[in-house]
Amino acid sequence: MKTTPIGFWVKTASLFLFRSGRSTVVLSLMVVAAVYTLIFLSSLAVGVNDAMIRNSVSLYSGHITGFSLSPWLKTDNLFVEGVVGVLKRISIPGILTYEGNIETVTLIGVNPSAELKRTAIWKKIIAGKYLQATEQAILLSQPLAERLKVKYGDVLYFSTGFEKNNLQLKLSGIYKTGIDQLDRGIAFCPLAEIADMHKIWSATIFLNEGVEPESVIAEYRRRLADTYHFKSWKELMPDLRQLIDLEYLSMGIVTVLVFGVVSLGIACAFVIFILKNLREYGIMKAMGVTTGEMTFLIVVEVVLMNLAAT
Amino acid sequence: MIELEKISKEFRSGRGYVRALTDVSFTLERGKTAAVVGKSGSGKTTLLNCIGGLERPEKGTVICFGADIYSLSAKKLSLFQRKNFGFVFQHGNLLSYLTVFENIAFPLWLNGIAEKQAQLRVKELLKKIGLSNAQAALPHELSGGEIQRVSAARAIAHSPRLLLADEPTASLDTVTGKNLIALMFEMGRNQGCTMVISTHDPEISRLADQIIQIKDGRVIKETA
Repeated sequence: MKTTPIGFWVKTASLFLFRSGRSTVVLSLMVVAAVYTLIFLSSLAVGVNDAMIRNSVSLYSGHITGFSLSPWLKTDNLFVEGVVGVLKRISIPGILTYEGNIETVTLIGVNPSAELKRTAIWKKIIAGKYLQATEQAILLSQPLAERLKVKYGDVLYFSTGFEKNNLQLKLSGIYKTGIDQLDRGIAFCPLAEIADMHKIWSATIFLNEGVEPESVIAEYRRRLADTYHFKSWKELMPDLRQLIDLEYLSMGIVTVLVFGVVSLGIACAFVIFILKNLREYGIMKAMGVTTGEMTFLIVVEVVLMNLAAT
Repeated sequence: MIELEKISKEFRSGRGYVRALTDVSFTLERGKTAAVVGKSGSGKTTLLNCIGGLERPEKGTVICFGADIYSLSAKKLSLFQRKNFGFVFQHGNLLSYLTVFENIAFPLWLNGIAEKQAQLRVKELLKKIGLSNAQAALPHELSGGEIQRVSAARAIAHSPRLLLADEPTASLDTVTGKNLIALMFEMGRNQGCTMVISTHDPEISRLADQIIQIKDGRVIKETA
């Protein structure tokens, strides 16, 4: 004597589920809610970290910074797969003076229109406006402007120590980022103003979402001379990396805990569902249904319900 | 032939160990009907469960149609039950998620009877129990008498060799009960079924070929 075919049990399980509609719907909704909660939590963890990275790199630093790049290297040479933008910057240390007030700064020459497209320093301006390529202007942080006692429209002088390099710059705007590294000792001016003073430049590179900086750096190493140095945001902002690692760990723990609680909840709900039908299973057993067939019927019921919920 | 040889069964309850059956032995010829009579709690249901393979006795053997059912593996016992046994329970015990038609067809499907043949058989039985118009009804839509009639039809559907009925009329009024018994005897005898019915109704026991009277789990009288 053979056992009954699988199709019969699938049909029986479907009838059981269909005719105990309310329990099936409630249980299916429970599974749906649980699965969505887990998806939401995982997405939240990934989304929060992505947003943190995006906000940090888009403010100023980019995903990768290339140092000590020679004048012969063009920005176009740095466009490899995954790169969406390359900003050229020239940094010169010097002295800023205004009516007897002196501050040492690193003056960074930038391409204003390109910076506006890729970075978010302009969003941090609290007085005046961002630089324009045609203006002989300077952008200062609020602490620096306070120490120099300058206000929007004042004219400052920048010197590298050599008389011939004296630059007259009008204060176009004052920014405040709240980040110590950017608010102290840095000033910005259009690239054209200092292009003749210093030829070695640095590159700020922006990547497509999901592209790992390490793979792009490896590509640069393969293509370009060893004298060029490239660092990812992870190396340049180790504190941010630690924060993100910590965030991943804590969200991971929360997700595992939620997963455990949700799984237990669903398992209990299924056990209750099975216990509710215990009488039916008992009657079937008395009619000669084998333990294997009974187990199969219960498994099919649970699978069908999960399929419906999915 | 059904042969019971000194079967004993004990239960553990809040009141300690309760001996439900003690050294019960009897033989029932093939095609004959036995009525197990006795007061409530005398062990009638346990005896039927032991014969039907639902409760394993601690001692003794139950031989049904040449097979010592408790020496079979669990799977073989289930397969033996589905082919050879039919049960009518005290409260019908229909599968509540299946319709009347599906409940009667269930043992046929279980035994691998072809769909067309099963349908014919179910229709024939529905006609016999007078419920042709209720084939799509679910058990909760039926009266007590109708449930028991469906239960009897389900028990007999696959033409089992042994029909076990545990106080099938207990939850019914006298007239409905009489009709059900008449129906069961008619269907059972037509198919050459061996029947064991537990009851405390003397009218039912009078219809049986053999009466087994039990008290406190022991057979006190056996009348052929």
